[in-house]
Amino acid sequence: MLEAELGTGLRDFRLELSLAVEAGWPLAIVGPSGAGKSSVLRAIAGLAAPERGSIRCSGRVWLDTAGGANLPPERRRCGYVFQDYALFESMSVRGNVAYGLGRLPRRERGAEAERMLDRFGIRALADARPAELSGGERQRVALARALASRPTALLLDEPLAALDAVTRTAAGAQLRRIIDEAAVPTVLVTHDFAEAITLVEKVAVLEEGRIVQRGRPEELAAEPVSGFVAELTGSVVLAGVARMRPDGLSEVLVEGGGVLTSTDEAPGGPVCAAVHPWEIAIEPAGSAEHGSQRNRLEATVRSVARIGNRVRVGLDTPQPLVAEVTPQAREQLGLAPGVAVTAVWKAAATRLTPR
Amino acid sequence: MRAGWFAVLLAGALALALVFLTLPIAAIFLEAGPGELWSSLGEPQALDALKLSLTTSAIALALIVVVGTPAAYLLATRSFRGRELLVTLVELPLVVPPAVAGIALLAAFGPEGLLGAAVADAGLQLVFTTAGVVVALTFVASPFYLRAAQAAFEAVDPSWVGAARTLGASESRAFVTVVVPAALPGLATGAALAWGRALGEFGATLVFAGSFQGVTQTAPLAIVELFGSDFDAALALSAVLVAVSAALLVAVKLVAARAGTGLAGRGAGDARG
Repeated sequence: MLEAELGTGLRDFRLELSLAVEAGWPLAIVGPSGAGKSSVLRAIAGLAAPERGSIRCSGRVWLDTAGGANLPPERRRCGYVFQDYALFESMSVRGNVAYGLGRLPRRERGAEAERMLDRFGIRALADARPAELSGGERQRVALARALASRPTALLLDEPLAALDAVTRTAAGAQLRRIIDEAAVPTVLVTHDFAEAITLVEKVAVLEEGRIVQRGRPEELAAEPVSGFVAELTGSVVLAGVARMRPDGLSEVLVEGGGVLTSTDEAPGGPVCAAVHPWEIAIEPAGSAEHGSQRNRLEATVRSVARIGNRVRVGLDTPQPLVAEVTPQAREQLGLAPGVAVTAVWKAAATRLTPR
Repeated sequence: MRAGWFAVLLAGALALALVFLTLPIAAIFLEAGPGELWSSLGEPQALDALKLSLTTSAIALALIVVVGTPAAYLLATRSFRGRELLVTLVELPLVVPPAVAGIALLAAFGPEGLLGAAVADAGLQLVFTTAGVVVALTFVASPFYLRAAQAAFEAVDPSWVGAARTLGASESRAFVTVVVPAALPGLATGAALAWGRALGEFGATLVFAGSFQGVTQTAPLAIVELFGSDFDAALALSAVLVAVSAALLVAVKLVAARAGTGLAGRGAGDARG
């Protein structure tokens, strides 16, 4: 169990948060760059001293500013995988992996390093310099090095961000297995919600130094507490002003023009209306109205890009929208930049959050 | 097709610089024949001066590296109030004329100087002694090493130190095992620059320590003295000094190139990643 409660001033805002992570339930802290994610990891590892707070891991006190305790990083021994992996360029792969084996008697270090090289499939690279490795190989070396020292906690800073799209999927699956096997409290930070989903079941969203929502990834996507969280989970977010209608639905006057309805209850006032891109259908411009619970916005196609078996369509309405449709729909509607269309989605698929 | 006038201009400028910079050096060797060179080196004055130059500059370099390396690491890695001022103060000897440096050393450590009494109480005699030569060389050469070392340490990725610490290394062990190897090419360059500056030192040494054969007369001082009486001997000693300095420069470039191979390949690795 890793428990941390921190408060410290960063450049533009304060970092104030508490978290508790159990082995087997890795936590992903998700937020945009500059939200303070890396600062959290650095504070846990002991690489930066927060102004106040306490950190405990497996019953040991790492930090207690009130009690004056502050263990240096070498006595906390977190396995830390840095964003750019921070491999020691002046050492071989073997030297990197063996660096953290100081706890072992000297004659056992060689065998342990070989064991880790085998486990991470990097035996063939043992004598190579980090500069000679591909991104995926560097990541495996960084993980092997971090785990060779049998850390008490595992901290991963954007573990997949440095990899290209092809490597990322395989590396993600492997990373998840490695996290499970490590069986220590694990915190990873990422700016990519989609990446977090593939790695963990617990997510905390960090916005300007504060955790604004925690939960399972699907909970966050289904019920975001704010437009910020909705946008982070991949939703399209429109700003507007809400009021309740007598029929129990909420009505949102979208900034720049257009009216939406939502089944969510809104208190009235400024709101964010969020909808997932795959909930938005595209119909020919000026097509007939199907019902009042359907939202309709006139739009002009800005961009069309095929991603896998979907087509992502950028739409210009008063506020930009993104819809995801099938390739067949693209054919039928003749979607191309400049074409006028109508974006349509259900009131029930429209989430409202205060702004 | 016409060769561009700009390309001609560039080539012309380089040729001019090359001739101007290498011709005088080459002339030393052309003027002093191998036979004369060898016999002049047998002269006690030249030999004494050369030995003194090598020993005092080596001692000065050792002092500079031992004190300068940790000092430069601190300047490179910690931010504190007045850091910029400190960096500037440390660089000051670079722009102070050597003769002024000698006067300054006298004002500080001379018998009548600021710390003169303390130096005498400690049983040290600096003025007109070999120890004084070492002080003068250290004073003028330190900034060359400090600047290069600071730049080399600043270029080391701070997350490497972080990684080493989380892997169980104390701050000092991380410094020795991770930071210094990474900064080695820069440190070597700085050491060579400082050594070169110390070998060529003239003004500060003359003012602070004088020019006594075998005691404070380094090679540059001997060359100037010989120049009045025996031009061939001055030429021969100059040739040796050039050879030693050139060897130093080449050695450093080799060390830097070897240590740099790991880093030079980095771009290729990233491209593959």
